Amino acid sequence: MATDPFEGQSDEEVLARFVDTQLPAGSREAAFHSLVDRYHRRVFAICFQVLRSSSDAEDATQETFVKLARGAGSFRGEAQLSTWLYRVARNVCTDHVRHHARRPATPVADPGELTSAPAEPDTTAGTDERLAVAAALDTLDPLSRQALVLVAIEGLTYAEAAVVTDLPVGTVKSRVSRARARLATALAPDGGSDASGATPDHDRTSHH
Amino acid sequence: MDEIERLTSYLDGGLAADERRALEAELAGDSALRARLEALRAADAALEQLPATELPEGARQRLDARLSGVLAEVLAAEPAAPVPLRRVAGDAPTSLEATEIVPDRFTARRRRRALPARVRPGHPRRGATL
Repeated sequence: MATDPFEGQSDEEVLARFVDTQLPAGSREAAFHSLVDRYHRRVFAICFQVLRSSSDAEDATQETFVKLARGAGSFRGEAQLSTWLYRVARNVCTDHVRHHARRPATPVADPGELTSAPAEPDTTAGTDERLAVAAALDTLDPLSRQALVLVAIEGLTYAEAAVVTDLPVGTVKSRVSRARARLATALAPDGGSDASGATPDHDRTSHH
Repeated sequence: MDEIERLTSYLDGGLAADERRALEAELAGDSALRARLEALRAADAALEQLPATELPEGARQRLDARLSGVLAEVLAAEPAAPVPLRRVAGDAPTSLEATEIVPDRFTARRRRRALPARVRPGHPRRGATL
């Protein structure tokens, strides 16, 4: 990625340049492209987590940035731009799901595909472990997996993940926490060690 | 806070000092609890192995192509007094309030982004030695 010409400026400052009609169009456009540089990948990742389809996620991502371009003037600065953008992305995805609700159900992807990059070029060492983690993640229910991936892999704050999932921050925190524990159980070498804190099954056959 | 949240908060360095000390005292005397903590730490480390989602090949070019017309339109808009944002036919209703363009509302407030909240296994808060 090229150097950010607005390096050192906050997202909100860069957006302010985009909407500043006193500035030349070229400067304003450069400001917008800088925001795209900053958020394109993450907005796509969020849409992908929600929609589970690379092409649908790409469409939704484009729509999100179109809405940013058209609606930037309504951003008042009460929220961080990131949060604002993620909320728009979530709404676009929700609309997308609603609009396509009549389509046949989306086929469930391979475990590896669910959590990793759609066009992942990686062939480095550790692939086996990654596959094991991806498979373990796939044992989680979709909402827990989504919350965990957004926070632990995509790097969203709990507050941002709360916006994406439309849940209270505390709920996201506890969901992520529980998902980590379930993942720990699934990844345990013996496959059965209980890191979830749940009461283990008592051995009912051993009573004497 | 239940046990799972205590352990994950501990790993994230998110426990208050007194809570941390209390948990460390428990850990010192409870090998099963230590095992659960270590399993969580291992799971966090495994998660770190997974790459973040990458953009599909050519996605940026396709986005730029989609945006070029939109940006030309937005940038060519009259810089007159605050005007309502136009809603283009076919656009789905947006959560963005179509209100006024008020660039002067953007003060030069510098906000450090709170990112990332990425789980950092193996880096408990300073002083946490277990």
